[in-house]
Amino acid sequence: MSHEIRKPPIAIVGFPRSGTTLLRRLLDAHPHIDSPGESYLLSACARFIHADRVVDGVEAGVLGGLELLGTSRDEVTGRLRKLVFDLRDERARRVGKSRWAEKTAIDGFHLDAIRRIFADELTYVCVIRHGLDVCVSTLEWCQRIESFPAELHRYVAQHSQPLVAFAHAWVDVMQALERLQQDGRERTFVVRYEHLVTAPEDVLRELLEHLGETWVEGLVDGALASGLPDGFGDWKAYGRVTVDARSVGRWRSLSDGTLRQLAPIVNPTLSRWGYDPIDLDGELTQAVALRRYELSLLAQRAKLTARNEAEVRPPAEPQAN
Amino acid sequence: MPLTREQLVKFVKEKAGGPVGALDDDTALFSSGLIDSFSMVDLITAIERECKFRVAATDVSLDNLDSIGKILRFVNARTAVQAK
Repeated sequence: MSHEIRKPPIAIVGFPRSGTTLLRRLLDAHPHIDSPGESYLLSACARFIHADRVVDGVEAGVLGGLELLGTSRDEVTGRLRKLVFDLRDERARRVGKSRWAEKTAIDGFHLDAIRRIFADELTYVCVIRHGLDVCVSTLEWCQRIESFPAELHRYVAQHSQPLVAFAHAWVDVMQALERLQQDGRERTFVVRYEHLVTAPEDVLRELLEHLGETWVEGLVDGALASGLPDGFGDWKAYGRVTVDARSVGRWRSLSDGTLRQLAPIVNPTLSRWGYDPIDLDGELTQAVALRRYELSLLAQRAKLTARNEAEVRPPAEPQAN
Repeated sequence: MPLTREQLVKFVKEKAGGPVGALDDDTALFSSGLIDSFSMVDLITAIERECKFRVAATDVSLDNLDSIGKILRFVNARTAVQAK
C-alpha cells in the first residue's frame, strides 16, 4: 500500500456519550491531525461485511459470497480499507493535515468487524466513561433526538426499560474494547472521560505522546473556541465551550430502585475498568418494592396537597407605605 | 442514628443531577423542583434505614420534608418519640 501519510490513522472508539466527540474536537485542533465530523466510514465498512450465520454455521454475507465467486476475503477487506484510506487521506491533504482521526459515535458497536477490516493499520483510542453516567446521558440524547439509533434500538427491543437496554449495550461495547485491548495493547490507548474533563491538558499530552505527535500550547482552549461543526456530530458536545466535570457522577440522581436494577448489569464491567461498583444497602425484595411504590404515591399526594393549598391561599395584602 | 445535615446536603446534591446553587436549611427541595418526587421516595427510605423508624403515611408531607431544616426537625422529633 502506498500511503503518503506515514503515521497510522486514528480511530476514536467508545460508547456514544462517552466523550468521543470532545476528544475528537481536541485532536482536530492539533495542526497535524484532521479529525472532522462523523463520516460513518468505519461502521459502514463493518456493515458491508456483516454476515448472518445460517444453517450449519455458514456465514452468509458479502465475504463468503464473493469468496465462492473467486474473490478472497482479504481482497475484499483490502479494497474496503483502501477506499477508506483514500477518502480520508484526500480529505486530510485538502485541509492541510498529515494524519487523520476517524470518529463516529456508533463505531463502538462494530468494533470487532472494524478490526477485522483494518487489523493493525489503525491506532485505537478508546474513550471510556462510567456506565451509568453513559446510560443517563444516552437516555437524554435519545429523548432529544426522539429516536434510538439502530445499534441501540436492538437493545431497546429486548429490554422495555431504556436504561436497562443501554446498560446492556454499554457492557457489550466495553467487552469489545476489552478484546481490542487484550489483542493489541501497543496499538491502543485508553482515555478515561472522568480524567479528560478534569485534566484535559494532562490527558491530551499523554495521548499525543503515545501517538507520536508534539504538544501544542493552547490546544484545549483553541479546540473548544472553534466555530461551527464540521460535519455530522453530537449536538450536545458542540455546545461545549469549556471542559468541565459537571457531568461526572450524574448517575447518582437515579432512583434507588433503578440503581438496584442496573447495578447487577454494570458492576462486573465497572470493576474490570477500575470504577467502583454500585454499592447499595439491602436487597430489592418484593416487600421493599411495594413499600417504595406506596411511598411514591404518598410523595405525589404530598406535592399535590401542597400545590392545592398554595392555590386556595388568598394573595398577600399589599403592604401600606 | 439520626441523619446529619451533611448527609442531607450530599443527598440533595446527588439527586439534583446538576449544579445546585446556594443550599441552606430553608431551601425548598421538592416544591421548587430542585429534586423530584422519586427522590422523595429515596429520601424516606434512607430516613427509615438510617433512623430505624417507619415514616407514617400522614408524615409524608412537604411540611416535614421540603427543606433540610424541616427534615432534620422531623427526624429529630420522631427519634425523640422513639427513644421514650
